[in-house]
Amino acid sequence: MTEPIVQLKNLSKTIKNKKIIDNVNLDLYPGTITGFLGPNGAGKTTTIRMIVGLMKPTSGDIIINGHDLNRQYEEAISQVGVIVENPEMYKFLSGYKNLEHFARMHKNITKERIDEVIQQMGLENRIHEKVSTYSLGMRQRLGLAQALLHRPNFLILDEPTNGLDPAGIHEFRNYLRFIAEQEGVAILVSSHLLAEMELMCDRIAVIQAGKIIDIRELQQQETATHYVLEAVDADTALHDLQIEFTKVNDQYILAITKQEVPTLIANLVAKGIAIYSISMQHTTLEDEFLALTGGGAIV
Amino acid sequence: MFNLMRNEWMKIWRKKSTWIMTCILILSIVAVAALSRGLNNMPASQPDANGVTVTTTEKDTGDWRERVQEDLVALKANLNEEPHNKEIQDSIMVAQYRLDHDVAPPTTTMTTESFLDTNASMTMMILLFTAIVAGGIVSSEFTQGTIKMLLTRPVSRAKILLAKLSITFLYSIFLSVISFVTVVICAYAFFSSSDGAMLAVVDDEVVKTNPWTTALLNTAYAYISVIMSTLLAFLLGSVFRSSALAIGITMFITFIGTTIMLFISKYSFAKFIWLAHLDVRNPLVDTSTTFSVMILLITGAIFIAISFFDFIKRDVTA
Repeated sequence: MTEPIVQLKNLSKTIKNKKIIDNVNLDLYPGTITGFLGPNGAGKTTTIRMIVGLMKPTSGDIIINGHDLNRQYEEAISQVGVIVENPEMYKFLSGYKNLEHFARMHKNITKERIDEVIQQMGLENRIHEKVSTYSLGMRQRLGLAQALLHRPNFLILDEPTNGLDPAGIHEFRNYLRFIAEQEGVAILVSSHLLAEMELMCDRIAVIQAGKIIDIRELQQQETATHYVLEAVDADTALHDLQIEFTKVNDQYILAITKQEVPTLIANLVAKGIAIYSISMQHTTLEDEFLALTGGGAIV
Repeated sequence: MFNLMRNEWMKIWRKKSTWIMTCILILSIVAVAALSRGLNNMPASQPDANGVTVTTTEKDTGDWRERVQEDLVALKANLNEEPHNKEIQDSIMVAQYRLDHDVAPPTTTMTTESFLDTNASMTMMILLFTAIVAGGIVSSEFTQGTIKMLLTRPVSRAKILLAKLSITFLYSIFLSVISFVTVVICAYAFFSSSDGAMLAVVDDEVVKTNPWTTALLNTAYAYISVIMSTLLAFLLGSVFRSSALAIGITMFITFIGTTIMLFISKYSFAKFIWLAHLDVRNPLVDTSTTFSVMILLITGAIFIAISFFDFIKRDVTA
């Protein structure tokens, strides 16, 4: 794998003698979307606040683009785009004035760049209206727009799909993919929507009680996949075809690969078995997450 | 830095309250001018509280020498009782000078020149409005949650706070200019000029004073209170992150301050409290002007230091 853009090294935070974050190590790579998962109060937001300099770690280092956040704050943060919790904007200003306001705090953001981001986020129509009139979904888009203004190479998003409608979520997911793959941006997304994370992320880091308990790549499909066949009296037929199966009610759970599916169907049909349905299933992130965190409340 | 200040300036002017405060200031000055003129135009000749007959300008001119002569006699009597009172001594010098050099005093009614001095009393209003801005400029970012957006930029926290403090003062300067311009316009629009001259004793010599310099000088001295209250409100706003608390406490201390000082003026520590020195020409405790200025400077520096230290060091959890 390539060099990490962001490195968290032995990060700890103690508040009032209570260890909120305990020795967290995490690397984030360009072009990779990392999901940050954890039950409520596990320390997701505290970690994110430390990465963007809103809170100071009790010990440990945060290196962004080779700059130590504590010592070279301005250099380190200049390449970071962030939404911490809800994208809170100035409600009495228009969307455009908000973007202009934040653009002035960076170097070299042109008017053209502002217009480009507005267009990418699909905000053209109401950009000159006050933010107080925006829906939650529009505020999310505006929040993302301000995070992308300065073309960051590291993007941190806390609950980004909150308030977006299904079409918006889909569009948003594709957009994140696009900037990760095309522009090589490292993205850290925290969310409680596990199914969402599964579709969006390349890898996930699970945090519980201030400790990272698991970091794993999310392999798409191939492994941990099985097919569910709904058919009547297929036991002997499957035996003859030498396919292992477990039977649950009228459903046969088969450990076969995608390539084997058409042959199987053809063979079963030839044997006169009535097939009602066959579908792919893989263990969901939710199942694994619940197993990992011991089924603690996830909100 | 310039961009940060532009942002803050834009934010305060996009809020309705800023416009309302500015309008209230202008309307108050016009109202004071209109009411004073109304009083001037009332048929005069009833004696006022001091037994001096208040008359209109034309009737006034004939007998000013008699009045000054009477005043002089009264003042000399007072001086016998209090031989070391500088104020009485100065008044005698001025009165004597008027009679010797035939210089008429300003008329007792409101004139263009005397209305200019209204500007100094308007600083109390500027103080209130500036404190409102000072108390809210930091805390509102926390209550809106926008502080997260503001601080995750490649700009140090110190610069952001400095921009906010400068803009607060720029707003108070802006209000002062608005106030002065309105006062001048009203002074000419509502009143006529007086023929008399104001006199004062400077370094044991009687000199004519310029009403413009007097007005501006009084305003400048009154402005000390504005600076101290602004720094206090700014400090409280950034430490407590609540504009209501910041403005409330600042106003309480500002208006009750003199009373508090009267209660504690007997104690020796009283002279170290800035409230005693807000009127540097006439401090509430017995000290030198240098000492007053020192206390004001030190207190101001402490207020600024605490604001910055807290803003830079504290974890943002809003």
